[in-house]
Amino acid sequence: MISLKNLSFRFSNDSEPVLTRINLKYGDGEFALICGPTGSGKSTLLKTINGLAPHFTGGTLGGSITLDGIDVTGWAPHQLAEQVGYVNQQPEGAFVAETVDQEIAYSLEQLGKPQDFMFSRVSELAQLMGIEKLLKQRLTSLSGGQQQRVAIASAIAAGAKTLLLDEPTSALDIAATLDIVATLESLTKTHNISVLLAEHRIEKLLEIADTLTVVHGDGTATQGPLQGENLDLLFNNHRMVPTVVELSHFCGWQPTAISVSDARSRWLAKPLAQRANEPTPEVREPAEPSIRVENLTVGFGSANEPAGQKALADFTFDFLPGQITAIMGPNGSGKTTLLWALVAELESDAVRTGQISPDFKKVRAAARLSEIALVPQRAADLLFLNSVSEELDESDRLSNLSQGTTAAILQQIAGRLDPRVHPRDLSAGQQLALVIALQMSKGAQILLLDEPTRGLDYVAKRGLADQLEALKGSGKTIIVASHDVEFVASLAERVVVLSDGRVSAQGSATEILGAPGVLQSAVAAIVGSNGGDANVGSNATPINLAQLERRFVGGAK
Amino acid sequence: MQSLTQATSPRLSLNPSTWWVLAIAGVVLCTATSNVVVLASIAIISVLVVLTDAFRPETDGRNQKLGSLRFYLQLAAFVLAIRIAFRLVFNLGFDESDTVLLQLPRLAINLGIGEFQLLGPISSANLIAGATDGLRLAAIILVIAMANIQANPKLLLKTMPGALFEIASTVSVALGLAPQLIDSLQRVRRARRLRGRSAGLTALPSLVIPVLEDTLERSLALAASLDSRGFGRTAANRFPRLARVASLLSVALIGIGSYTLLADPSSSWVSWAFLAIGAICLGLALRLNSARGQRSVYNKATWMPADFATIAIAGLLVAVAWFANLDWLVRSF
Repeated sequence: MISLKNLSFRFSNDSEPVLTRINLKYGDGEFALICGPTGSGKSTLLKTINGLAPHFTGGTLGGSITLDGIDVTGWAPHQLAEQVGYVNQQPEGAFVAETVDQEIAYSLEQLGKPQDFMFSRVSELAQLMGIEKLLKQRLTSLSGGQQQRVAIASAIAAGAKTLLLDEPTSALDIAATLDIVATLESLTKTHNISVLLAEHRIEKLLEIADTLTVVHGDGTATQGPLQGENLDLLFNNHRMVPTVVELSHFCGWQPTAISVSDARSRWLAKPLAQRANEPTPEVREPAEPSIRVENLTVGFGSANEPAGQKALADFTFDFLPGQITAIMGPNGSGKTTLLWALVAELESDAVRTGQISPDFKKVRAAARLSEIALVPQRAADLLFLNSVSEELDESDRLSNLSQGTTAAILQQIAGRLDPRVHPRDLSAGQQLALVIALQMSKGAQILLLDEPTRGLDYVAKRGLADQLEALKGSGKTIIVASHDVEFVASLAERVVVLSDGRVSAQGSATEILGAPGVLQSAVAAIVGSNGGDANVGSNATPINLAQLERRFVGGAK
Repeated sequence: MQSLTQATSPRLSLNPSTWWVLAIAGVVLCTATSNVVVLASIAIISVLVVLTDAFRPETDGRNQKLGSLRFYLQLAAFVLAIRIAFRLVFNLGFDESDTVLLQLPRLAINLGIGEFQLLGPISSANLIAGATDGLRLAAIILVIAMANIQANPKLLLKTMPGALFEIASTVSVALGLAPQLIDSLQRVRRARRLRGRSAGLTALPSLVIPVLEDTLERSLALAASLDSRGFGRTAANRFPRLARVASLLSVALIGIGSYTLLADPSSSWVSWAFLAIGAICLGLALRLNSARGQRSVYNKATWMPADFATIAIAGLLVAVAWFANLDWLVRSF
């Protein structure tokens, strides 16, 4: 039982408060979802509960925090180690030990538990989280989902009945996300642990969470059960409306549907009327491919991988101009390797065979930028100057462009950014836009993006989608590696699915994301027909809201 | 990434401390001898130990071990080459009585602080001295590499007495950041090439700033994680003043003892007395301060007969080297 009374927090006296006199309550075994736009204070809210704010972040705390009836306001994190477990956004950065069992035992060691107890507790937790086989493994050799499990086991090892998770699934692929979410649910239901989870991508979480807390970004927060009219109140802030809720609004459902299965049964009961004059999708002339890849195989030497398995094997594909192609597939399936192979910047120990035309291997990096540009997974790696304007000027200078060219591109895709702002102070979405502008300044016809939606909220994602649409409209070839199904469904024409380095499926976005399976988009899952071939002609299952709105007449609110 | 079934037990066959005792013995041997054969054997044995262990079928993290070994081998080779090159370029230790092997032109440079010479005649003695010097450093690097690869320094730190826990954790965190630093350096370098930058000196900020930011972020995340997991809990110290006096005394006595021992070996029994009392105080201080922490150790490394045998052999070798070469050793300090 956690109760926050009149909780206020600000980082410094002359800054705006992050939280202003908020009152929230969380019961035992409650699965509480906390959402809100980027920078709204979700993370800070979590951190106040285990004392990281203000003990670690600095700042001042007002109001009181009560844990099971004890006033713990002002306690340091280590004093709360038995009560509250905390899992960071990137668990791999917060591991303190070498191997899995030592990591889980760490907090037990700090609390001076006897050896025998530690052994039994570690194996008990390993069983609970399904990581018994990994106990002796090095933490660095684990996959993202496994690392997340270890982090959760470690956080609750000392007996914590409250688990705080800050964006635990933002870096995970769909399968791993579903897995972690199911595990968390069982922690709340069978072990009576309260889970407080802050996240941007909430489609999968809405179905199982008990309550929703929305941190609005103006210092206020609203809390309520995930049902009925409450939802409309909670989502009246349109910055974080997930697809299901948006679809509910379009259909005029009262109360709002929050889970895909709920929406599905309502749709089947009363589908919307089809538009009479449904616009036929324009058929475009098949263009010459801008990159043609034949039998591309990339390996990193036999030492690093199981025999015969390559990072990428026999990849053949024609990327067309004026199209957005999405590369999907689980983490480690070869998406990133493909992108780096296309710009011919693979690691030096990589062995590449097969044909890429045009091949940029012989082209100098600076000259290559007028043909092809890659925005890497951590876009901020490309930024290092002290202000946006310096970055823009440097880009013009590097590319021998007249001053203001890059700024004009940035304005075209992202609107105006304050040129005096330090790039690190931009939001994740703005940083991404800036990097895209810098990379596109030389007029590259091909743009590659690696996992661009990581850490973006719904508004920022929509902004990015609009930017990419605009670039596509000017005839660019756009290739996006992503495991964000809803994002891909909203903009891609074609989808290639990789699995263990091989193409496991490819086709139009409608074919891939409309068919049942883990990659099915929410809209397709709700309005798609069961069985049969729904993907023929203009009757193809809509996979995103725009397609749905083109096909059906909206319901009255 | 390795397969899940492969790794069953990373249990080292020796206690981590044993590896480091072995390394220290190796370092002492290296400094005590100028015998090329001994130095070369120490270097070769260190490498062989790592290789043998890495290629045992049950060893996990083989690639990591081999990768580290490769790095240390490169470092050792580099140091060896540099030592020899320095001898040649700065013409160090050339004796006119030696036979000249190669006559290079002599360059005299005057920087206003006296003249010094570059290049000049090279004798075989000169070369051998350079090679021995370089080999000694290379052997030291490799013997430490062996311990570092075989016994993770983090594991060793766990065996530290509780009083040193905070220091040990700091060192452990710092050691953990090093590989991460290399990772982010590589990542940022690749990213920089994407922006079409030259690799010139002017490009340094584009490399350093993102890497530093990465490291800082990671350190903060790690510190937050340590704190959230109960790090830094202490119980009350029952004899705080006694503990403080004992630690101060131990530092002072050991300092005086080692100074007098090294400065004036004739007064050795006084020095040894100082050292002994200092050691007792140190033990007392550690004991009192360790009682403060309420920590326990998971999977504490045990001492096996093999450990004692290894340490005994290492000690024997050092003792032989010590008595054979004591004067030299003392002078070299």
